[in-house]
Amino acid sequence: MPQQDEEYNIVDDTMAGHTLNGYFANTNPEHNVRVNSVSANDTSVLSGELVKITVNVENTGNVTERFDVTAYYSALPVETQTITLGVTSQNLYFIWDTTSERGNITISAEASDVGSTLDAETNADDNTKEDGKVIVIPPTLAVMNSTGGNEIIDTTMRGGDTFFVTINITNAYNVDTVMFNLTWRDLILRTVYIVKGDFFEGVSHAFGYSNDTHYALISYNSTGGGVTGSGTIANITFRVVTRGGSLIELKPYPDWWTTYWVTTPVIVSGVHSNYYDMQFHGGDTGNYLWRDWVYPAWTDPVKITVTPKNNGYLYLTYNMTIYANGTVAATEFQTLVGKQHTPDNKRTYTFDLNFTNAAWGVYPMTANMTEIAPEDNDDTNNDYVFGTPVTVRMPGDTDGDGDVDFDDFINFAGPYGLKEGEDDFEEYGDIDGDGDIDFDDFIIFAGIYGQNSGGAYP
Amino acid sequence: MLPLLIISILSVLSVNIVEVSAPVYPVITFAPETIVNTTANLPIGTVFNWPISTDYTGSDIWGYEFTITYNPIVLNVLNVSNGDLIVNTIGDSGANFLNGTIDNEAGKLSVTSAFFYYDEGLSPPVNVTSGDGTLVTVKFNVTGIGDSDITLGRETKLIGWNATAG
Repeated sequence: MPQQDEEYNIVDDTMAGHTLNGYFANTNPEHNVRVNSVSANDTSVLSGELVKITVNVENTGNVTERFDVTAYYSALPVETQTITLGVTSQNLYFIWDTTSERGNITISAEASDVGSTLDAETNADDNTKEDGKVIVIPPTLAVMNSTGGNEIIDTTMRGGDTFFVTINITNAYNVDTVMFNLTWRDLILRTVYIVKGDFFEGVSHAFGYSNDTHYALISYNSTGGGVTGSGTIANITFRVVTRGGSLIELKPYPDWWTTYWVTTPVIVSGVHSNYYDMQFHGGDTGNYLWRDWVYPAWTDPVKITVTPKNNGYLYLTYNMTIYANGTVAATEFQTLVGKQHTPDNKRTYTFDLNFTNAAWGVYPMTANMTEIAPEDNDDTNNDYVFGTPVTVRMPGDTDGDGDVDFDDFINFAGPYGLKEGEDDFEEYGDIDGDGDIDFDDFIIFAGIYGQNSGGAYP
Repeated sequence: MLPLLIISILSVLSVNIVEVSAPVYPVITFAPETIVNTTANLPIGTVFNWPISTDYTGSDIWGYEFTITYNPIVLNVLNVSNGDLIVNTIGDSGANFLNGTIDNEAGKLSVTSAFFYYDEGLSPPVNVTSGDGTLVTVKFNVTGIGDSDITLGRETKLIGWNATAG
């Protein structure tokens, strides 16, 4: 079968060893370079600044060399430059972007690829040089109290009081965004509101999220560009809930930000107590007597209504005591929840006071709440003086003027014979309190007619 | 011819060591492979020729091509001239020589080639020749003190032609 004319390779790169390279040297070459020094233009910079690293290399051999020089920070390369160097020394310059770096960082340099495949460098030990350190200062985000400290120790602070902390940034270089988490003990503190600080211009809060235990915030420069320097990112106001202490801590957000911030928490302590405060609510509308006089023979109780209110935040137990002319007339143990748990943190209830057979006279009425546990922080509002006392009248003193005279007889005679519930019935005529105005009442009236209270009232 | 050429070059350059490796057959190689002066530096500006040859003895050689890289600090290529294998005096179709591109900044010569012209009127359509022989002679200029690997690139080929037309 005939064969076509065709081209083919007798020798090519697929045939190992079929091409042999040449080597030329016009001297007895001594290859040797070394790194003499590595230095930075500044030994202390803010994270994000550019550092100029100067590497001095020297060719100590006897041939012109073409080789690589790499500058490093820590063990990471900044840049590799290839140079041609005669038998002399030369400075090379490298620009290191310190963004996201921090700490005391060693800079170094290495010369490599010196010599040739047939003639290696005579001394490679001096090709690497660690020489110099650069302190890279990262931005610091810190939470501080209103005076720039880290403690809020206030033994006068009580539940309901507010205070604020600031989120401050220092050593910022071209920072355009800040992200953080702020955490605290929700049992002790609650946030009230947050306002932007002065570090970023314009609208600075792109996103904020809070719940009872933390506040996540991304703050940025809405006018664009980074900001260098120091300032306040945000002011956050807290309300004290109860006695105790809490750290207010900055936490990284998100997690990869961990290495970026150095934070010191604000220590909140010395909060005196939960603010326990019982008080009477509503004045004369919430605290009143259902009637202000009685005859000694009456057995129906005098009702008195009180409205205590828990102005604190947690439960408080107390005794409510009603006094008639300084003597205990009634008392009752109570527990009332604070406004932390319900906005309806008050209670209205009524006592029945018995004045049967009480001596004639005026009985000023007061109410007092005495805490059982815990301590009421404001005892100045635990007493209530009712505007009207209870007067125990002489039997038949229908007009309450302190005697039984003809005026009373006129009053008594008018409704005489009527029963409770009938038209024109007047209770002042029912001297014995049996529900009618009859002869029994007249006997009592007649027996005391012409007497007076002897100054017991009015 | 090859030993004479080596001696000639060495006499010009006053070099005193010549090493010629025994090639694996067939081979394209510098002749000599190594030029080393161990006693004194050559003056910058010294010019010398360095042949690239093959020891292939087959009779089917149609052409060749190659590239080389070198250390431009030490050497520059001045020019390249065709050797004695692919020349016009052989056959009827004539030969073409392309001296390639010299880049003395990068230290590269590419792509130098030579081949016999293709002519459909002929049978076979190309001439072929026999080795061994010199492919090219590269004229170098010494530009610095130092050494240089001179590497034949992957494009380097010795090209044959099957002239058994049916």
